[in-house]
Amino acid sequence: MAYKKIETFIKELKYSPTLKELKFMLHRVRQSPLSMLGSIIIIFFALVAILAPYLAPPNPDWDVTAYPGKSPFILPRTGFVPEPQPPSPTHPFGLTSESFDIYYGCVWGTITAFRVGITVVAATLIIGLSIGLLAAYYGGIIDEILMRFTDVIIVFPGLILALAFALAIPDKFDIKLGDVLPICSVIFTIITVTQFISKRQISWKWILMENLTLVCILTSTLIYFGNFPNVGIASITMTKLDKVLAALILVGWPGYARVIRGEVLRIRNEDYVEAAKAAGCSDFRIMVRHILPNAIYPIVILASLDIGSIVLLAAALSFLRVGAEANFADWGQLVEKSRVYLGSGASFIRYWYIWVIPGAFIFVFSLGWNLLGDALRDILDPTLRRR
Amino acid sequence: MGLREYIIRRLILVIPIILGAILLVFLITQLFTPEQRAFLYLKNPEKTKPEDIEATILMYGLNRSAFEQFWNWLNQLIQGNLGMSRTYVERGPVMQVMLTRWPATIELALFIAPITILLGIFLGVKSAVHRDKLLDHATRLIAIGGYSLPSFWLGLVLISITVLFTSAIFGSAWNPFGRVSLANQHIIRNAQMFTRYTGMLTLDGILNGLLNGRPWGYQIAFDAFLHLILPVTVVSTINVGGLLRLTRSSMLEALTKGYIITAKAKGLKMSEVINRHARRNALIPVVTVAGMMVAGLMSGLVITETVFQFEGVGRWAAEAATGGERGAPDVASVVGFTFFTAFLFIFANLIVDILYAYIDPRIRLG
Amino acid sequence: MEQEILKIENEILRFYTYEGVVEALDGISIGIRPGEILGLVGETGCGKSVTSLSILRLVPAPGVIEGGKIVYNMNGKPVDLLKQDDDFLRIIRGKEIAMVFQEPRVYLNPVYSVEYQIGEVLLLHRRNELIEFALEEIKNAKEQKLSMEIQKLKEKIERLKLKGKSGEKIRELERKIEILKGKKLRKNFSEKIYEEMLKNPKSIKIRFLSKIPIANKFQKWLKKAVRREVVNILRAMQIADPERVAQMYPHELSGGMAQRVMIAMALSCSPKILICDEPTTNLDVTVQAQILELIKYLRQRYKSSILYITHDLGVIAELCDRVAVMYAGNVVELTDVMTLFKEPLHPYTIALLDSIPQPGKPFKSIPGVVPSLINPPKGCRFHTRCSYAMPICESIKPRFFEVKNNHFVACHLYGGSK
Repeated sequence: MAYKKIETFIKELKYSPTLKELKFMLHRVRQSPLSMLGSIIIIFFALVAILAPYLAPPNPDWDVTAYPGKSPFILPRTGFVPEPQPPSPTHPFGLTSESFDIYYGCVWGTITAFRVGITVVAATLIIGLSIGLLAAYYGGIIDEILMRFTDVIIVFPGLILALAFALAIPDKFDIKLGDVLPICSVIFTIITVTQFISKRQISWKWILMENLTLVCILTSTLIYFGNFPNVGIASITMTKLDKVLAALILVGWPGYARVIRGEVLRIRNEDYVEAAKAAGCSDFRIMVRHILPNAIYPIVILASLDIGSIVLLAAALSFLRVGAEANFADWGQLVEKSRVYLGSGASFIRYWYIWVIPGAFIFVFSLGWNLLGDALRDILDPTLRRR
Repeated sequence: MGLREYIIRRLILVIPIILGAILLVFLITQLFTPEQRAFLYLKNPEKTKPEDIEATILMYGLNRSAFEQFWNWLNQLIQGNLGMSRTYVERGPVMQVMLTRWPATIELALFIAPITILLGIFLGVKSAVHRDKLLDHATRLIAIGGYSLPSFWLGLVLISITVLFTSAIFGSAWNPFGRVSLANQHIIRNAQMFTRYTGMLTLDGILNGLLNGRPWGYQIAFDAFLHLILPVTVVSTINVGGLLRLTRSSMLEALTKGYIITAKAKGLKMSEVINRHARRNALIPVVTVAGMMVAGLMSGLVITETVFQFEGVGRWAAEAATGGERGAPDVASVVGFTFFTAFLFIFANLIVDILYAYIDPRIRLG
Repeated sequence: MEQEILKIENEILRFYTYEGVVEALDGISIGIRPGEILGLVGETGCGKSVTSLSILRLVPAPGVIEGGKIVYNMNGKPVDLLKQDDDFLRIIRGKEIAMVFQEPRVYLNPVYSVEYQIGEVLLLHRRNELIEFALEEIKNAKEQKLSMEIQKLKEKIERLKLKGKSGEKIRELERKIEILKGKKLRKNFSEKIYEEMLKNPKSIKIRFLSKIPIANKFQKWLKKAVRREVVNILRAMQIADPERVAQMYPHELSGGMAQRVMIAMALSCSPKILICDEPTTNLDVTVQAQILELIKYLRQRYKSSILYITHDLGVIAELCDRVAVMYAGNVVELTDVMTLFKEPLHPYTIALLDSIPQPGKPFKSIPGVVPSLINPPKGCRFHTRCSYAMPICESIKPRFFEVKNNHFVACHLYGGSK
C-alpha cells in the first residue's frame, strides 16, 4: 500500500511544478555572482566553525583563570605581557593586552556567531510566526491584543531595548506557579470566548478547555488572595550570553509577527482558503497546509537577512560591554578590547589588529548572509521575476 | 475630506501605545532588584550608606507590590523625576543630563537624515530604471556592503584612514574625536564669551559670530562641521543601503503596473513617466520606512557617538550601560534613555503615518 | 478599395523568454478604414492585445517586433510607424492614436485625481489651445474687475450729481474712468508669461519661474482653463456631475465611471484612431451596454475610427462594422460583421460560432487546446483541431487573401497556397 503511494509520488514529482520552480530558482542562484559569493562566504565560515577544535586547539594548560567547566570558549592567556602584540607566526592575529590570543578568539568566535545568529533567528521566527499567524487568521480582538504587544515593542529602537533587557534580566529567576497561572488564565479565557463566539456550539473539546480555564483562574486567585502555596516550577540560570540571546529574541519577534500577519491577511481573502473552509478543513489544517506555504517566502528572506543583522546587533552589544562573560570568544568582545585606546589617536592605530581583524570577521559574516538574503529576495519575489 | 479625520483617528490610537510603552519600561524596571532601583532616587550616589538605601526603598515603596510601585513611579515620572545618573561621564538628574546632551545628537541626526534619504531615493530610482546594468550592480554592492558593516568598525576604519592621511599630508594628525578640537572647547566652556543658543555647535557658532572681535564663532562652526563629517559618513553609509534597496524594489514593482502603460500611451517622455507616475507610487512604502529609519537613527548613534567620543545622548546611554558602580548598569540612565527614545519613535511614527495618508489618498478611507 | 487609415502589413512579433521564443504574431495583416469600428476577436492568448500595443510600440520587453510594416495615414501622407523614432511616436500617442485599456482602475494612476490625469494629456497635446483659453480667462477676469470699478465710480458721480456738488470733483472722477479704460489695454504679468509660452514653449525663464512658490501663481489661470476643458469632456462622456468627478481619485470611482474617465482621457485630443482593448470585459452587463452606447455615440461625434478588441462575439455583433478573427498569432478571417455571422468561411470561425450555447441544442466545444506559441504547429496553426484538415495544412501556412468581395480568409479550403 505505502509502496504504491511512494511510487506514484516519485512519478508525479517529475512533472511537479514545485520541482520546476526549484530548478528555476537554483538556476537563478547560479546566475547571480553575488549570491554565489554569499553562499561561498557562509560555507567558508561554516567550515571554520566545524573545524574550530583543529584550527585553534583549546589548551587547558594555559587556562590560568580556572574558569568553571574550562569551556573552550574562554580565550586562553598565553602570557602576562600587558601590551598588545602584533601578529607573529605563533599568534597569527596578534595578542591583546594581557596576552589573549586574537586568532583563537576569531576562530571560536565563529561558533559563537553561528550560535547567536541561528538561535535567535530560529526562536524569533517560531514565536513571531505563531503569533502573527494566530493574530491574522482569527482577527478581531485576538488580532488587536496581539498587535498591541508587537506595537509596544516595535516602538523602541532595537539596540536600546535589547540593551535595557540584557541589563535587566536577572541572573537567576524562579518560575513560580503564581507567574504562569494568570497568563494561562488570560490566554485560555480568550480562546474559549472566541471559540464560543465563532462556533456557537459546545463540543466536548470546548468544555474541557473551559474547565481548564476555570481551574487556572481559581488557582491564581487562591495563590494571590488565599493561602495556596506558590510552588516553584522551574529555576532558570542565565549566563551573560543567555541574557543577550533572550534580549535579542524579545526584541526581534515582533518583526516576524508583523510580516507574517501582513502576508496571512492577504492570503486569508484568497479563494482557495474559502474553498478549503467550505470543504470542511479544520483551522489548523488550513493554516498549515494552505496559508503557511504561501506566506513563507518573505519569512525566508527576512530570516536570512536577519542572521546578518542579529550578529551585528550582538556585536554592538558586546562592544558596549553588555555581551558574554569576560574574555569570551566573541568577535564583538575582541573589538571592545580596543575601546580603551579610543581618544588618543596613536594607540589604536598601533594596535590595529585588535579591532581590524575581528571586525572584518563580523563584516564578512554579515555580508555573506545579506548577499544570500538579497539574492533570495530577487529570486523569490514573483513580481520581480522575469523569465 | 478624509485627512483630518484620519489624523484624529491616528492620534487616538497613539494613546494605548504610549500606555503600553510606559508599562513595558516599568516591567523592565521591575526586573531589577530593589537596591538597584533605589539608586534612581538617591541624590548623592557617592555618599550613600546602606541605611540610606534602606530608607529610600521604604520611602518610595520599592519593596511593595507591583501595583503600588507603578503608581509611585508614574507619579515621579509626571513630575519629571527620572532619577539620578551615576555614570562617570555625567552626574546629575537624568532629565537634566538628557536635555543638556540632546542637541549634539540632534545635530548629527539633522545632517544624517536628509543625506541618507535623498541619496537613497535618488540612487534607488536610478537603479530600478537601469536594472541589471552596471549602476544597478554597483549600488547593490554598496547597499549590501553598507548595511553589513558594523558601525563601530567602519568608524574606526575611517578614523584610522583620516589620521594616517592627515599626518602624512599635514605632518601632524588631525584629531577626529569629539565635537570640536580642544582649543575651541575652551572657548565654548567659557559662558561669557560663547552663548549657547541651541546647543548645536554649527548653528551656535554662526549665531555667535564674532567674539571679542575675532571670527571665533565662525571658526567654531567650521570646526564642528569638520568633526561632523566622519560620523555622518559612517551612519549614512550604513543606512543608505536599506532605503536604496527598498526604493529600487518598490520602483520596479510600480513600473510593472498598468498606469505606466497608460502614461506612455498618452505620449509622455520616459523621464516624465518615471518621475511623475512611477516615482510617487513607489515612494509610498519608502516614506514609511524612511520615517522609521530616522527614528531608528538613535540606535546607530549610540555606537557612533561612543566611537567618535561625541557628547551626545547616545554615548551617555552607552556609558551608562556599564558605567555604574563596579560595572553595574546605571539603571536610572538606561531606563530614562529607553523611555525617551520610545517617545521619539512614537512621535516619528505618527508623523510618518500622517505623511503617508497625505501622499496616498487611498489610505484616508480605510 | 478606400484608403485605409491604418494598415498593419505582415507584422512579426516574438518574445524571448527563459522558456523559449514565443512566436506571438506570425505575419498578420489588418487594415482599419476611416470612420469604421473594426472588431478584433479571439481567445485569450491569440495575440490581439499585443497587436494593439505594437501599433503604438508599447509592447513590453522581452517582446521584439521583427518584421512587417504599420502604415499610418497621417493627413494624407503614409508613414511607417515601425521605422519612426521615439520622438515621432510620442506625437502620435494620445493625439493621433489613443488607447483605452481593460481594467480602468488599474490603468489609472491611483495617486492623482481625474482632473490631473486628463489634464496631463491636454497639456501635452493641446497646450497652445489651453494657453489661449487661459488668456481669454484672464481677459474676462480683468474686464469684469474693471467694469466693476468703473461702475462704482459712475455711482459715485451720480451721488455727487444728486448732491449738486461742483463739476471739479466730477471731472476728476471722469478722468479716473478714462485712466481705467486705458488700463484695460495694458497686459499684466500673467498675460505676458502666457504669451511668451505661446511663442517660446521651451523657454528656460518660464520653467524657472514655475518652480518658485510665489511667482508661480500665474499657473492658476492655466489650471482653470484645464479644469474647464476637463469638465466639458467628462460631460461629453455622459458623466453626471462632472465637476465633482473631476476632483475624485480612481479608487473612488465605480468600474463604469472609471472606464468613462479612461475613454475621456483617450478622446480628449480628438485622435483619429481609438484602440479599445477589452474595455468592458470586467464590467457588469448593464454597464457594458452603456459603454457600448457611448462608444457608438462618440464615433459619430468625434468621427474617429475604432479598433475594438474583445473575446465576446455578442459585443462584436452589436458594435462593429467589420470583424477580424485571430487564432494563435494569426488573423484567420476578416470581413464585415453581417457576412461573418451569416457565412463564416474559416473553420475556426465556424467552430467558434457553433460553440455559442443555444437553448435546446447540446454543447459543442472545439476539441483540443490552444497550442503553445513557443513551438507552434507547422503549417496552419489550427490544423491540429480542425475538422476540415487536409494533408497540405500540416506543412504549408495558408495565405491570407481576399477570397470573396471584401472577405479575407487564411485557409487552404479556399486556396491558400502560394
